Amino acid sequence: MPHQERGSWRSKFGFIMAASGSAIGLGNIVFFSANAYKYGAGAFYLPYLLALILVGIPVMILEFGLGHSTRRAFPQSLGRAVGRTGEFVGWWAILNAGFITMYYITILAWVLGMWVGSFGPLFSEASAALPAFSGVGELKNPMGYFFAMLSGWWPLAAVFVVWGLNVLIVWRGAKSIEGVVRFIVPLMWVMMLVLIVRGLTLDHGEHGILMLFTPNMETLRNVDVWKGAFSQMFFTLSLGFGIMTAYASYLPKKSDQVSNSLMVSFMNCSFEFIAGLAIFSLLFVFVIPPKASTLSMMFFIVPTGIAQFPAAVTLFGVLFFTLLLVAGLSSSVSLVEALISAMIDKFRIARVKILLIFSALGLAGSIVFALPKVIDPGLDSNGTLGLSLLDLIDHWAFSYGLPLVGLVECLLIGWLFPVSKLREFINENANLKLSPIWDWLIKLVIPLLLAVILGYSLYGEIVGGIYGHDMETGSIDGLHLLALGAWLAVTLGGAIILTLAPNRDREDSVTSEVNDASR
Amino acid sequence: MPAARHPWLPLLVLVLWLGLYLPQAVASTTLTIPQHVPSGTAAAVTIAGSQTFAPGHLRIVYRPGSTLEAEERFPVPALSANTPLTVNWTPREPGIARLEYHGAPVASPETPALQAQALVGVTYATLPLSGLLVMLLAGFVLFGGCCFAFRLLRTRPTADGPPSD
Repeated sequence: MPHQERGSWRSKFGFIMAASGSAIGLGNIVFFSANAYKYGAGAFYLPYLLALILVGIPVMILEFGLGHSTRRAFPQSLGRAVGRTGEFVGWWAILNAGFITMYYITILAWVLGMWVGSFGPLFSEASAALPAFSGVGELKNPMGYFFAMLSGWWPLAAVFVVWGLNVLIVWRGAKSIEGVVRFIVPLMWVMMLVLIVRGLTLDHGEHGILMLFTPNMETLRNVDVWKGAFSQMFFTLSLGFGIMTAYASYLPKKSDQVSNSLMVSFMNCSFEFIAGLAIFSLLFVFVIPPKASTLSMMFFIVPTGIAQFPAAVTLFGVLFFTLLLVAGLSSSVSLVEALISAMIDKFRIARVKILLIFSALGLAGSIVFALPKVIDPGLDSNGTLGLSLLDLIDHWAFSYGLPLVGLVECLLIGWLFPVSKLREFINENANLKLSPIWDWLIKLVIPLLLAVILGYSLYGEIVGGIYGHDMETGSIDGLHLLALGAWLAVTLGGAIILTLAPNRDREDSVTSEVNDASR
Repeated sequence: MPAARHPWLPLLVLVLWLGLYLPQAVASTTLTIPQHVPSGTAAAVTIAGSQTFAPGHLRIVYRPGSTLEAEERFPVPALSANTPLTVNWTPREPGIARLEYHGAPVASPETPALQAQALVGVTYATLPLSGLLVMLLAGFVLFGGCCFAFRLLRTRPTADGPPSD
């Protein structure tokens, strides 16, 4: 492979913007607020900050350190560290992230649809007719607009547009990504600040903020709250996707991974902090209880609040959906890049070629998640086939896939690599040196915490039935099992094939410093 | 990053659908209260309807939809048709609360059922110090962490290692 196919960041700032842009996504804007409300507001910050320090930052250092030391994407990094088992886990993680990429882009296509709608019927008409949903007939906007859009074919065109934008941004790898994120990540902060000012200047907006932070300590006795905080931390920092490893592999040799991890983690969580201010003030002013779901918050709850603004409804509606689009794009390009870089490293294929192949496959997947076929006309579950599949795959890929990747990568690096070698490498360039405590966090504490979260989720699945068993899916019986089967078959089968495929990566092209040291 | 959970969807659809059709379909009972009321101060809740109801109750759900839902209920006297009834309610906790009027029509006495509901924002009567403290603490940790990391990134390595890029 020509070395320039991998590329590199042109500046520290560009890298920080790209990594934080990846971490700051749709979930940061709305999901944190929903979780905070659900889990006792102010008291949620205690487990949340603990999760940041005990899990978030250590795993981010691990993923950055892996990519930086091996100068390779996630599968090859793990492969170089612990052999074929590691590479298999890496490919499994990348393919799991591939599923997430597909439906994430579908969600962005819907955001684009809502953005277009903000100029017209979304905020100007009270309700929308839903002829495809015979059991409902008509619904208040914005929910009515959303389901009317979902049951039509035109969101498929939006899927093409969003994929097109992703391809353009990833076209030249780190160089083109950096060029875009340097502009859009600061823009996200500005747009969020505008929303905060608007929320706070509405009557009673400040009480929403007090509601966000005033703790109710009873909640700390609830296991779900701790599980929610630790899961939130894993998702919000984009850990377990292979993104951070891929991004760090483009860094110059002498980079400080401890400082980078601290910067990206704190920036991400600070953004959630200010997003909470905007969302809570808005919801309290219009007395709308948040729902613990990204989709409902994005498409129904927050727009319902914006629709009640005393003035400039369209302006703020467009601003909100632009913010979502920008945040979503900076995350989706990182998902695409994680896969592309892994393929380039393994097969030494030209970037453009693999980008076009993957985009075609990804586009097909995103179209499946956007399928408008109505299978639940009464809207008892998800309405369309596409949204039902999205819900089911999201459950497995997110709730199980990401923590599982985190658990296994910690165990592999912690016990087989060993982790102390990686720590020594990271410390060579770090201003703030890692202590052996980090080793034990990776070896023991984080795997234990993730195992408890996974075990708790699995227990709920066993007791309450496999997720989606009670979902209304019309004439399609066993859709939940089909989705689970497809997810397992593609991720496991694909990971086996990709691991066994001939490796065209050559050691001599880039020095793998940690490997050299550990030999 | 994303997380697309929406098991609440049927409930939300129902609520919105009821919002659209209930006024026309039932049109008989309404519950009115100012959108925001201060905690600890009595607020007037007006219930009105075109039917006569036996004595029922008002159910208040604090923090609806959270894991910390708490409720209180108190009796409401009989409601005469087309004669608004005003009862006083003193919100005990700030935040969002849902008020529900449960009653049974005199014409067909049965278990009191939900007849009308409204959401209300209960404002803070005084500045909650614990809330202020958590806000300052979280802000200090997160933004302080950003500043600390920024300083680290701008500093050359302290040990004998090479300078960062």
